[in-house]
Amino acid sequence: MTEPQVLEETQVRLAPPWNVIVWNDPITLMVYVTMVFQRVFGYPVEKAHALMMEVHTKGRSIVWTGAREQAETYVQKLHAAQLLATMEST
Amino acid sequence: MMFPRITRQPDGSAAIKGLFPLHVEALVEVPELLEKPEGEARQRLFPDPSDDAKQREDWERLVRPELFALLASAKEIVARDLKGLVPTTPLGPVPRWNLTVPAQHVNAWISALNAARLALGARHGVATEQDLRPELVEKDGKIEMDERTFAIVKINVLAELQALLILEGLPESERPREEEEEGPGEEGA
Repeated sequence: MTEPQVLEETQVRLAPPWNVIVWNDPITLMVYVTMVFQRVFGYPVEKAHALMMEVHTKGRSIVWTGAREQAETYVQKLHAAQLLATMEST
Repeated sequence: MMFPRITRQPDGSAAIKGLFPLHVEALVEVPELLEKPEGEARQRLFPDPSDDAKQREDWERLVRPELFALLASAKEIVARDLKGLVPTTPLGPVPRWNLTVPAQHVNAWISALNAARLALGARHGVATEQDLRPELVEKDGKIEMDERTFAIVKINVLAELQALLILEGLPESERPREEEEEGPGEEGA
């Protein structure tokens, strides 16, 4: 009986996740931001409100983390709602 | 002084009642503000998604045209609905106006009001929440306002209507919670 041969060793590294960040601006209404977070991410109102408060008090909040393509889709939706949103690799 | 009221009708439309001349003046300016915004307004309404040059280039080519089209569509809807502004029978010295926003237009209105406020703010260098609370100067019994102060007043007037549309014009299931410790129309998030 022969030993199985290892022909090749491959390492699979997962792509790093991306953060979607929303930045504070002085004009956009807090209630509007909460509404947008609920609609874009499907967050329950409590989470949407907590994230909005983080944007308001800290100047920015990481509102979602995950695959790049999905992050791009979310940023596009946030821009469609005129929120200041960016994305960055973690 | 009675403020405007918004009531969601059985068919889902939003009936806005009791608009003052200042509301009407601010509202009729909305389509103009959203007509091909340029300079600071364009930069604010269509921000970059990241610092990455390649991604910004792709965004400009692939995503921005769709964002432009969305805003243009909201602008058209508001412009069309504004033709339905109706003066009410005056009950006092100040004329009032009513307007009905059809159910399928409410979201476009909320978005357009937000964009118009941002465009005004960008044009007039509103950078802090304090900037939104200008000191009004009264002279000979009249409030004097320069162009920037008047723009800020309009940002606040449109905020009042935007908040009302969100909290009263949307179906109850879509309304975000109104916090007790913060006013629903508070800016800055």
